[in-house]
Amino acid sequence: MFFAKLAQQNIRKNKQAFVPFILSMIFLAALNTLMLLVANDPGLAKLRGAEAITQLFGFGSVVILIFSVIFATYTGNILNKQRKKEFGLYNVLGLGKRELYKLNFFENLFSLVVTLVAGLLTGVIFSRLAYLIIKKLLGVGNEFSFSIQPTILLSVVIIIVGLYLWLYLISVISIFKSDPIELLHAKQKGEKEPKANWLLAIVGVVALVWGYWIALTIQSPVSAIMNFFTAVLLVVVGTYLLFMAGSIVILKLLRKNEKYYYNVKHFIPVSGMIYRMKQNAVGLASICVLSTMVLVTVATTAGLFFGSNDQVNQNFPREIMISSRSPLNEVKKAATDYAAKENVKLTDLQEVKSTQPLLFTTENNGLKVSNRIEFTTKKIDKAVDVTLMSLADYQQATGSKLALKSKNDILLYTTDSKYQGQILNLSGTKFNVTEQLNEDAVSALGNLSTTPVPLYLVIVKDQSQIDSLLNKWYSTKEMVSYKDPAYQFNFNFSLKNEAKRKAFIRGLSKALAASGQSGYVFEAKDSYRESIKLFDGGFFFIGIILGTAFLLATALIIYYKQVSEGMDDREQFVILQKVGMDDQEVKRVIHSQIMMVFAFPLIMALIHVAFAFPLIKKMLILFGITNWQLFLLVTIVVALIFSILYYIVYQLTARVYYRLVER
Amino acid sequence: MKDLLKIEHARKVYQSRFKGVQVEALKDIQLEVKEGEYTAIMGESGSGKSTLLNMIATLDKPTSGKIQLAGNDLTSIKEREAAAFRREHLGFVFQDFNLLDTISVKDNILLPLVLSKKNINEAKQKLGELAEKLEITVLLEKYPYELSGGQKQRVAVARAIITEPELLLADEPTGALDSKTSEQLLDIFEKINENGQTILMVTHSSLAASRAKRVLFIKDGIVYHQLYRGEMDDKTFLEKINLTMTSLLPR
Repeated sequence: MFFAKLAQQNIRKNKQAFVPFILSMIFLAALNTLMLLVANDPGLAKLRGAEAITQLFGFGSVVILIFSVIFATYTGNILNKQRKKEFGLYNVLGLGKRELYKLNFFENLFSLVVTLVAGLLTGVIFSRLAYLIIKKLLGVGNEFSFSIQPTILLSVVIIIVGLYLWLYLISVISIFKSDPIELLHAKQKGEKEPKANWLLAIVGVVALVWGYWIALTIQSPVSAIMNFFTAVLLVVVGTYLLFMAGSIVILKLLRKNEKYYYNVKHFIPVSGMIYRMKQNAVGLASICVLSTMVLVTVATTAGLFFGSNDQVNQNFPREIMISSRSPLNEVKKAATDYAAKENVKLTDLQEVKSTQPLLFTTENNGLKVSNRIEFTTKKIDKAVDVTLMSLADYQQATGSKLALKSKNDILLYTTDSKYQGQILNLSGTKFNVTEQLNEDAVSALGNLSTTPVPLYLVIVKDQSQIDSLLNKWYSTKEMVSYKDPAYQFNFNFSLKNEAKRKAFIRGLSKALAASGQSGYVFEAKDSYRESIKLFDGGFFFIGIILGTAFLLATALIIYYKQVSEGMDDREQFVILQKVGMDDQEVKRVIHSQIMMVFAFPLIMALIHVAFAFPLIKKMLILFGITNWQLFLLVTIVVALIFSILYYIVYQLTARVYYRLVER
Repeated sequence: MKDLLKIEHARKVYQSRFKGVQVEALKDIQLEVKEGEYTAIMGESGSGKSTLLNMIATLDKPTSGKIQLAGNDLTSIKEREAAAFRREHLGFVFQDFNLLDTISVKDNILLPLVLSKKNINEAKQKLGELAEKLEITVLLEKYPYELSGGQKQRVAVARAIITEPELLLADEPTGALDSKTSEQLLDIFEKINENGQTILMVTHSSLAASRAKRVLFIKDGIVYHQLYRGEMDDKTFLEKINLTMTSLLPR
C-alpha cells in the first residue's frame, strides 16, 4: 500500500512535529482513561452521598471531554501549520488533493493506533500506580478496588477515535481550501494580526459574570450541586472567550498608549503577544481551566478530609449517643450497670426529650408544616427542620433557669440566617419569641438535626401544647410516626487506651442489646470517626489523583507552548540582537514576555477559585463541614502549593525556551 | 578626512569541529575607511568577507590585529557594551531584510530608537522625515509580510539610518532583489551617501559594487586589490571591476 508506506515515512521523518502531537494525544487518552476509571470506580458507591458524587464526577468527565476537544484542536492546528509546506511540495510533485486526503488519512490512522495503545496503557498504569502510592502514603482510599471495566476502555476508544475524526476533518478542510503555491509558502507568510473582536470579548465577560453570579448567589447547599455544572460551564466558556478575544482587545488598548508601548520593556512583549495571541489564547485558557480544576478538586477534598474532625464533633456532642422513640429507662440502667462492672466512669450524662425533627417549609408569613410524602425536590430550598421541646424538658437537660410566662411565649434557637423578628408563625399558630438562644445554650441537647437544612428548636411552656399541635398537624394515619417523641441518652466515658475503648464500646453495645429494650439506635463517636475518616479519605484520595492528573496536563501544555513558540521566537530574537539588543536585554525581554504569558492564567485561576469558594463552602455543608475558616485555610494552602509547583514548571520549561531562543 | 574605520593586520583563525584542523578565514587584513566614503568589498564566497563584516559589526573578534571604529578599539570591547555600541554607532542592512513580522513597518523603524530609550515624540518626527525621503510613508501602517522585497529593503534602510549611525554596514543588500529594485536601492544608497553617510557594503554583485566610490577585492584572507572610481562613470567603472574579477579567478 503506497500511501500507508508514505504516511509511515512521513511520521518518522517529521519527528519534530509529530512527537509532541502524538504525545499530547496519548496524554489526552490517558487523562480520559483515568477520569473514567475513577468516576466509575465501584468504591464510589460506598461513599456517603454517593449519588451526588457520581453526578459530580459525571460533570468532571464532561469537562475533561470538552477540554480534550479544545486541546486536540489546538495541537492539531499547530501540526497542520507545520506541515503545510510539505503538503505543498507533494502537491507540486503531482499528488492531487484526493491523494493528499488519503495520505493524511493514513497518517492519522497510524497516530490513532499509537495513541490508543500507549494512551490506554499509560492511563491504566498511571491510575494503578497512583492508587497504590496514595493508599500507601496517606492510608486512605482503601475501598477503591481498582477494577478495569471493558466498557470504560471502550468509551475511551470512542472518545479518541472521535477526536481523530475531528482532526482529520480539520486537515481535510484546510487542504481543500488551499492551493499549492499557498501551501508551499504557508510557513513563511506572516500570520494576519488578529482582529479585536469586541462582541466575543463581551460575550466572554457576560458568561464569566453570569457563572460567578450563580456561584455567589446560590442559597441552599442542596441546589448548589444542581447549579454547579451550569456555573462551571459558563466559567469555562467565559474563560476561553476572554482569553481569545478579551486579551487582544486589552493588548491593542495597551498598544494605543504610546508612552507605555514604546518602552524597551513593553515593546516586544506586547507586540509579540498581540501577534500570536490567537493560538496562544487557547493554550493559556486551557492552562487556566486546568489550574482551576486542580485547585477546586484538591481544595474541596482536602477541606472534607481535614474538616472531618469538625464533622465528628458536630454530630457527636458526646462519645456515646443512644436515641429512641420510647423512654430509654432500661438502656440507661444497663449502661450504668455495665460501666460499673467494667469500672469505667460515665460522665456528662444527658437526657433529652423532644419531638422528632419535623419538616416545614418557609413561606411568606412564616413556617408551614409539610411532610416527606407531599414534599418535592422543588421545595428543597425552602425546607427547614422544626423540633419542639417543653420548657421542663429543656430545663432538665440543660439546667437552665429560663422561664416562660404565657402559653404564647417561646424560646427559640435557629440556624436559619434568614429568620429575624419577634414572632414565629408555625402553620397559623403564632408565638412570641421572648428570647433567642445562642449555640452555647443548646450545646447540651445533643444531636438536634442530622440534615443540612436550617433548624428551628422551639421551646414551649407545656408538653400538652406540643401534643395538641402534633395532633393538629398530623391527623392522618400515614403521618402518625411524626407524633413520636425523640429520646436521647448521651454520655462520655473515661477511657484513654484505644483498644480498651473499642472493647468497652463493643461490650456496652452487647449489654444494651440484652437489656430488654428494643427500637433504639446506638452510636459511638469512635466508630463514626473511623467511618468518616474512611469516607473523607476516599474523597481526598480521588482529589489527589485527579489533581495530579490535571497538574500534569497543565505542565504538558506549558511545555508544549514553550517549545512550539520558542522555535517561532528564535528568529525574532536573532534579529533583535543584530539590531543592537544585548544578551542581557534579550533575556530580560524574554523573561517579561514569558512572565506575562504565564502569570495571567494563574491569576485568573485564582480569581475563579475565589468566586467558587462560597459555592464549595455551601456544598461542604451537605457533608457536615461548617467550619469555613478551616476550609479557607485549606484552600489558601492548596493555592500556595499549587502556585509554587506552577512556578517550578514554568522555570523548568523557561530553560528549554531560552535554549531554543538563544544563539 | 579622518579615518572612521581602521583595520591593521587583522587575522582570524577558526578551530574546525574536528580537532586540530585550523581554518584561516582572514590572513592579514589592512584597511581604512574615511568619513563620508562609500566603499564596496567584493570577493568570492569563502573569501572571508563575511568574517570581516562580522568583526566590524562587533559580532566577532579577530584572533590578532587591531580594529578601530570611531576611535574605539573593537578588539577590547566587551560583549555587554558591544550591543550598545552597535546600536549607537552602526546601522545594518541585511540580505534577508531581518524585519520583525510581528510589528508594523512603523514600529520596525522605531525599534532601534525604542531600544536606545529615545523620546517617542522626537522619534516619530524623525520617522516622518525619513519615511518621506525613502518614499515609504504609505507603507508605515502595514506589516512586513505585506511588502515586496524592494519595499522591505527600503524599510530596513530606514531602520538602519534612523539612529544616524557613523557607519552603515550593508551585507549583500541586493542579494534578494531583482535588478529593478536593486537599482532603486542603490540610488537610495547613493543619495544618503551624498548627504554624508559613510557606507560599507559587502557584495559579490559587480553591478552593485560599481555604484560605490571605491571597491576592495578580498581573496584568500587578504585585501588583494583596490579600485577607486575617480572620474569614471558607472559603466566604465563596472567594466574595470569585471576585468579585475576575471583576473582574480583561479587559473
